[in-house]
Amino acid sequence: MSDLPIISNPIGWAMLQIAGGWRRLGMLVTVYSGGMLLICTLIYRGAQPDLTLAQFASGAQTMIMFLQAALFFLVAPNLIRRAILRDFTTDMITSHRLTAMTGYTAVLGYLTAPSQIGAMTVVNWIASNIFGLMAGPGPSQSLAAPSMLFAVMAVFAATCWTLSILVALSTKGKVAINGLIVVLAIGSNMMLIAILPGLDLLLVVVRVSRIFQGTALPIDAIEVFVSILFQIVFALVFFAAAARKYHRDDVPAFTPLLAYGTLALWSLLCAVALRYWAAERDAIWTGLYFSADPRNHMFVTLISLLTVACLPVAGAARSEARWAERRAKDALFAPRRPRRFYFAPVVATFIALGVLLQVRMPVLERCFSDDTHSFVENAWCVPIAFLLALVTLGGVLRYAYGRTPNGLVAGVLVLLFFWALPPFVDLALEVVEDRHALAPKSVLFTASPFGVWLAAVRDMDAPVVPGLVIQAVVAAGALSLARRARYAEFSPAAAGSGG
Amino acid sequence: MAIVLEATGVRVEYGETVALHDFSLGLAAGDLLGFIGPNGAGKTTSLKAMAGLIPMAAGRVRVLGEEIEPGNVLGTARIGFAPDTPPIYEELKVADFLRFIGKAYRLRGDMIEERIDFWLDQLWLSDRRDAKIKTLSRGMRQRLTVARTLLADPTLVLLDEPAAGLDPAGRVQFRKMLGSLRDQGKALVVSSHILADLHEYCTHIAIMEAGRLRQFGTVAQVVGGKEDNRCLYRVTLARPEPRAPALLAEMAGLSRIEVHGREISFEFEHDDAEAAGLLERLMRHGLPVASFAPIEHDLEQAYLRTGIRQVD
Repeated sequence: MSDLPIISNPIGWAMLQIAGGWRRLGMLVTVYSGGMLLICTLIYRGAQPDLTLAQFASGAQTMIMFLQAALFFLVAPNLIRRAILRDFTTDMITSHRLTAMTGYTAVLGYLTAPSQIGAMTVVNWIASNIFGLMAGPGPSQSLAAPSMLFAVMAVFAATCWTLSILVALSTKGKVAINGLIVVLAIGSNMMLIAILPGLDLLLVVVRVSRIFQGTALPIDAIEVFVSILFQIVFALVFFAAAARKYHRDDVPAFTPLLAYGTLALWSLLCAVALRYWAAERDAIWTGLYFSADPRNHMFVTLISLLTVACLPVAGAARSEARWAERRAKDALFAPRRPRRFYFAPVVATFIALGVLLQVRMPVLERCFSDDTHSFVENAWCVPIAFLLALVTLGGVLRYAYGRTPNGLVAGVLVLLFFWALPPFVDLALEVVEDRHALAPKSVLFTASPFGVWLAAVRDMDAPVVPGLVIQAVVAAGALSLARRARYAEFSPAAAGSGG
Repeated sequence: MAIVLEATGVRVEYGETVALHDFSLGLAAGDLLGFIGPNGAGKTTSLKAMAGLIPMAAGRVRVLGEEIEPGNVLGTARIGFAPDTPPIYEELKVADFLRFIGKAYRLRGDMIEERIDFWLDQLWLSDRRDAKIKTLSRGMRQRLTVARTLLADPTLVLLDEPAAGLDPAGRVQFRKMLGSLRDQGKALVVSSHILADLHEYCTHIAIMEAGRLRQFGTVAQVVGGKEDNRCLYRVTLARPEPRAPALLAEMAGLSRIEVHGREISFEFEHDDAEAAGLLERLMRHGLPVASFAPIEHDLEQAYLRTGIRQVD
């Protein structure tokens, strides 16, 4: 039985054998099904006569859905991570890398690693359909709903699993994404992530229980469909990145094309969500004024776009630094110089804001207009602050990558000191100095892109131009730092240190 | 002979530490290179660099003209690398593990089974075919790693300490197997501290120290010290001769002269005609020569002659 070539992927086949093969899988399915039947019977017998069979079946179906969600989003990503961790600790990853397996084959193999989850999913699917039939097609329940929900969850699971593989391959299996999934699920259920409409649209699966309950509106079905499309594309992006990362630890997961593509995809998702869903949705936390305001949707969306734009900018800085380092040490090094790092902020700004503008009206007008519905005069500063922020990041990272293999610390410092802290410090000073909330902001507030955007979308009384000048000076400083790094790399001393 | 491996100017860095400096060598089909040097000399690093498993700060490695770099599946699949710590799935059975490797190399099902039978037989693991790997001894795991390495019939075989866990009989059989692979036209690189074995089956020797290739050449060149065409000779006199040191010091071409009673050793040209001429001169000066012969070097002496003292 174990020799049957049913799973042709080598890693998937090995994982199945390690888990005990088909026989162990069959035993698991039998024990799991039997256990479920026993527990259901005991609960139903114990709860009679207060509980009708239809009520019980409906409750059991809901429990199975929760169980399935836990299997898909918590257990399976962890199994995948552990499979990759084992390959790193036993050095089997070296063995894999020397074989004829492509990165895609290997990643596909890791995707099939949680074979037990697949078997249990089949049991859960059958059970949920049986319970659905027992509950009957009531006014709030469709017979096809369980299968639809399984399908929707499976697509989102594929996104989570590919992300899990990418993260595990990038961290040698040390980091799990379970914490992130829990935070997103809680945030989505509490409508906290509605503040970022793009993410809310992507995680619509968490709210998809409305379909299961038969209370879905037509718009929900379209939203779910769009969400699924985006999830599939994101899964493919993570898959491609993981396939690259598999080959060697020093290989960047994202090529420039993949990084720009990811940014364009995120920008499109945000733009679509902003235009079609975010502004119309009521906030469940009515006390949380922040969540339902389209201007704040735009502000948080800009922050998310800037964060995703770090990917191509950091990639460009790293790639140029590596090329220069290699060139200085290896006279025979032939590959062409990669495009200069400072093109990346320009291209990233163009992509991120360009896609947003393409899906622009009417939401942008709503976001960038004051109470009289006139267009806010500071809206022009948004792309400039976006570009300057990325130039600063690119320059600092170019310098950092010239000195260390890891630019993460430098990136976090830029985010903290140049982007996040200045507005917070100004707001803190406002409290300390007992200034009125509507009083003019200081230049410290607008010295950060976050401050400039907040001032623009909320039409605040803030010194935007001086703030941008400061940001431009900081960006120029970062470029100068990068220039110093380049000179150091190509100095005779550096060149002479090569073997 | 076709050039199988070309490593040119390879430099590997771990942070600030340079683990491999300007490492260059070439191997043709049928060459068997023995890699020796103390711990930390860079043997494993250079094997990994040749297999394309670690990033290089400079240089390039080509196997059959194909540059080895991440993602070049065709290139890396030609390389068989057996690290000193065997990478294995402990929970799998021996045959299943090899089956997995065969699938990963995209071999046909029947070919996989055929090769598993062959290599298990060659490496004396046939009776352990259905045993779980976790029940195998260290030596058996080492042999399984070699089987894994050779299953896909690689052109370049890199073995890091392959004989470390083998018993004496196993080492003998292993030597025969390496010789057979060499005769099949594969290029092999074997890192080992068992110098006597390397001397027996290698065609080339590379001595490494502190990340640098101190010596590289055929076994005869490295062992005989023939790179400068000189050799160590020993002369035994019939009786102690007080004039001998002075006489020898005056003779042209002699160096490193050492006298211990009747025993005299010195370095001289490694050439039979020159040696005959020297013997004639010694006799003419009246030295009572009882025996005159070049000292046959072995690899261990050659290694010690390099001045690298730390031997594991």
